[in-house]
Amino acid sequence: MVSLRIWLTSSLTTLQLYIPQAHADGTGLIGYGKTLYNPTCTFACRNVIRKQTLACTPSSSSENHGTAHNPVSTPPKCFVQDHVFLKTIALCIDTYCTLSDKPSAKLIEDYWASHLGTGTLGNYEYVPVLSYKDALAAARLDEENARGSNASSSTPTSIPEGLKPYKVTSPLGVTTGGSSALNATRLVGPVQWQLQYNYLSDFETNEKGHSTMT
Amino acid sequence: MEAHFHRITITILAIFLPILLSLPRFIPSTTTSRAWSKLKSIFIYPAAFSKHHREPVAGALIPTRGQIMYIFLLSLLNLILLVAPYTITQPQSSFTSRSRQLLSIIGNRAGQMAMGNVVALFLFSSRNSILLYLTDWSHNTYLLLHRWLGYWAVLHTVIHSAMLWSYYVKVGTYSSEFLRLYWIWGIVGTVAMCAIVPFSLPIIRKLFYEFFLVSHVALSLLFLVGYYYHIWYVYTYNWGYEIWMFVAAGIWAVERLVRVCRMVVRGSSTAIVTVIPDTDEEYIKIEIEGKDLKGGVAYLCFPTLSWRFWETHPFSVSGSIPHHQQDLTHSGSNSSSDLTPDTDTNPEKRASVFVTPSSTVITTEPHDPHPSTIFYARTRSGITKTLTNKAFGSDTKQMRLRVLIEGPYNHSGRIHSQLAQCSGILCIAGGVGITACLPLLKQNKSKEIKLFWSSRKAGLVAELRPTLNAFPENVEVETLVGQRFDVDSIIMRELVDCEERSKGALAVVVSGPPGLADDVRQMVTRTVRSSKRSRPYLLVDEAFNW
Repeated sequence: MVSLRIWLTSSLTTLQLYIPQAHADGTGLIGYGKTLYNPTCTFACRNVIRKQTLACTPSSSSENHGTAHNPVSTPPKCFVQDHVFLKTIALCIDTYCTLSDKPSAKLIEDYWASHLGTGTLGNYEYVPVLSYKDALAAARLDEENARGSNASSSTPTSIPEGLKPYKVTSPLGVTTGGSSALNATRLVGPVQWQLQYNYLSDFETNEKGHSTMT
Repeated sequence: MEAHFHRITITILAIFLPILLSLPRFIPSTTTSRAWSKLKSIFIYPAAFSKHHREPVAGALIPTRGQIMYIFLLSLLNLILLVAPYTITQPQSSFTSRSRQLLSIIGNRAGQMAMGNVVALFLFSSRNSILLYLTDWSHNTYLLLHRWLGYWAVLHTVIHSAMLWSYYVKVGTYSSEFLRLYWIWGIVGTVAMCAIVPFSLPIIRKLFYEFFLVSHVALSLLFLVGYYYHIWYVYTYNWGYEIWMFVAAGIWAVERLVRVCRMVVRGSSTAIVTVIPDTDEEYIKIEIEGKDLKGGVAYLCFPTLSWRFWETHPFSVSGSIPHHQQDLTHSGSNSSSDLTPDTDTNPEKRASVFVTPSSTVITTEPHDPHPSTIFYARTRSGITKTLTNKAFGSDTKQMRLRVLIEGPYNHSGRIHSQLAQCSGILCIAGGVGITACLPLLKQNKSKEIKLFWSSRKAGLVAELRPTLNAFPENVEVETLVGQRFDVDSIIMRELVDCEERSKGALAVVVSGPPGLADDVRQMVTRTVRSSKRSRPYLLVDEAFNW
C-alpha cells in the first residue's frame, strides 16, 4: 500500500506544518507568511560573491552547496568563519541597504544570524564568528588603512544599457564576483549588486503575485 | 503567519462565490417576488443557448445561464491573472532578456494557478462538500463546475510545462534539466492530468462508468503524487508550494473518511431486490430492512455482488414504509379512487396477485416496529443490470443480499427555505424519476400539490399505485402509461391560468429523463418571461441519471 504510506506521511507532515516553529523565512506561501529575500539588499550582496573561493573553500571537493543552476563550492561553515567574506558582506550591507531598502537594524541582525552560511534558505545553525557590528567596524578599518597606503584602485566596469547603479566607491576597490578568489576585503561592485537586486526583487514580487492570483 | 488568505484570488473566489451568490435566498420575499422570478427566468434557469441543458449536445453539456455566468467570471479571471500583473526589471543577473523572464514568470504563474483550480475542483466533486450545506446550488451544478475548473487546471498545467520547457531550451540547459528528478515527476504529473481528459469524456462515462471512476481517482492521485515530488526534489518544504497539494489531498482524504464514517454509522443491512412485474425486467425495487430514510440520495454498496466490493452507487430514496404496510396497501389499492383512467386496473391486478413470499411473511408480524426504506431503479448497464439478472434468475424473482448505506445526502442544494415559502408544488416526473418526488409530496402536507407522472411501463405505475393512493387530500395525482403529458399546457395552466386562491409561489419540480427536464425548464422560463401575470416560482431539477 504505497498510497497509504504516502497519505500517512503527508498527513503527518501537514500536522507538522501547523506546529509553530522558529523559521528564518516564515511559514506558509511566499507572500503569505513566507519571505524569499527579506531584505532584498542583503541577499543581493551575498549573491554576487557566493561563488568566489575563500581561504577555507575546499579545492578538491566537488560538493555543491548551492542550487543546480547556481552551484556553490564553499560550505556554510566556511562562509561564517571567513573574516574576509564577513567583512565584505558587512561593508556591502552598510553601503547598499542604506541607499535601497533601508531595513531596520534588527532585520539586518536576523539576516546576519541566519543566512550567511546558506544563502536563500535561512538556517540559524551556522553562527558567524564576527557580529555584524564587529565585521563592519573591521571593514571600515581596512578602508582607513587602504586610504593611507594607496588611492582607490577601482577598475571601471561597463554599465549595461538601462541599468542605473549607485555611484559608490571604496579605497578597497571593488569585486565583481565570479569564481575568482576573495582574499581581501572589497566593496561589492555597484553594477553586479544592482543586477542581482533587480533579479531577486522581481522574482519575489512575481512569486508573491503567483500566490495572490492563485 | 499572516492571515491574508482572503487574497488568494482564484481559489478563494471559486469557493466563496457560490456562497455569496446563494445568499439572496435569505432575503425574505425573494421566492414570492414576481420580479425575482422574472430575473431568474431570464438570467439563471434557462440553458445558456438552445433548449438543452441536461441532454448533451454533440457530446457536451450546455450550462444554464446562471452556471455560465460563474464559468465566464472564473475563466476570465483565470485568463487575466495568468497574463498579468508582472514586475519586470531589466537588465538583471538571472534573466538575460525580457522575453525569457516573461516565459519563466508566466510559466510559473500557470503552475501555481493550476493548483488553485485543483483545490477548488476537489472540493466541488465531493459528496460531503461543505458547499452543499452552505449554498442552494445542487450537486449536479458543482459537478458541472468541477469539469470547467478541470479544463483550466489542465490548460494551466500544459502551459506551465510547455513554457518552462521552452525556457530551458532557450537557455540551453534543457538536456540537463530533463535528467533531474523534479522534471521527471513534473512530466508524470502533467501526463496524469492530461490523461484525465480522454478518460472522462461523456461517452466513456456513459458506457464504462466504473472504469471512468477508477481511472479518475487513480489519475488524480497520480497527479498529486507527481506534483508532490516535482516540488520535493527542488524545494523540499522550503517555499510552501507543497501546501497546495496538502490542501487538495486533505480535502480528498477527509471526504473519503466522512464517506466511510457515514457508512459505518448506518451499519450493515439486508436488501431485498425485486424485479417489478410487468415492466419487461426494466425496473427493480430495493427494499432495505430496518432502515428509515426519509428522502435524498443514498449511495448503496453491495459488497457481495461482484469483485468490485468497494463500489457505491447513487439511488434516490423513495421513502420508508412500515413492514406490514405493503400488504395493506396492496389490498386497498383496488377500492381507492383512481384518478387516471389511462392506466386500467389490469396491470394492478396482476401486481396484487404478485405477492412475494417475503411480504407475506412480513404481514404475519404486523407489529414489527422496524420500517423499511424503498428505492426504485431502472435497469441499465452495470450494477442495476447485475442486480436485475440475479433477482430475475431466482424462482421468486427476488433476492436478498447484504447492503451498506452511505447517506442519504441532500444533493439538490439547500432549498428548504425557498420551498417553505411556496404555496404549491407542481411535480412533473418521468419514469423512475418519481422516486425523488415522493418524499417531497409526503413532507409538504400544507401545500397544494399536483403530480403528473408518466411512465413507459404499466408495471411501475401499478407498483406505486398504493403509495400514490395513500397520499392525503392535498395531493392530486395524474398518471400516464406509454405517453407523455402535454407539459406546455400543464405549465401554462399552473403558472398562469390558475385561480386567484393559489397565486402564491409555485415550486416546479421536475424529475425524469433529460429530455423531459429540458422541456420543463424551457417551458417554465419561457412562460414566465412572456407572461405578465405568472406566479412567482422555484425550479428544482432533480437529476437522477448523472
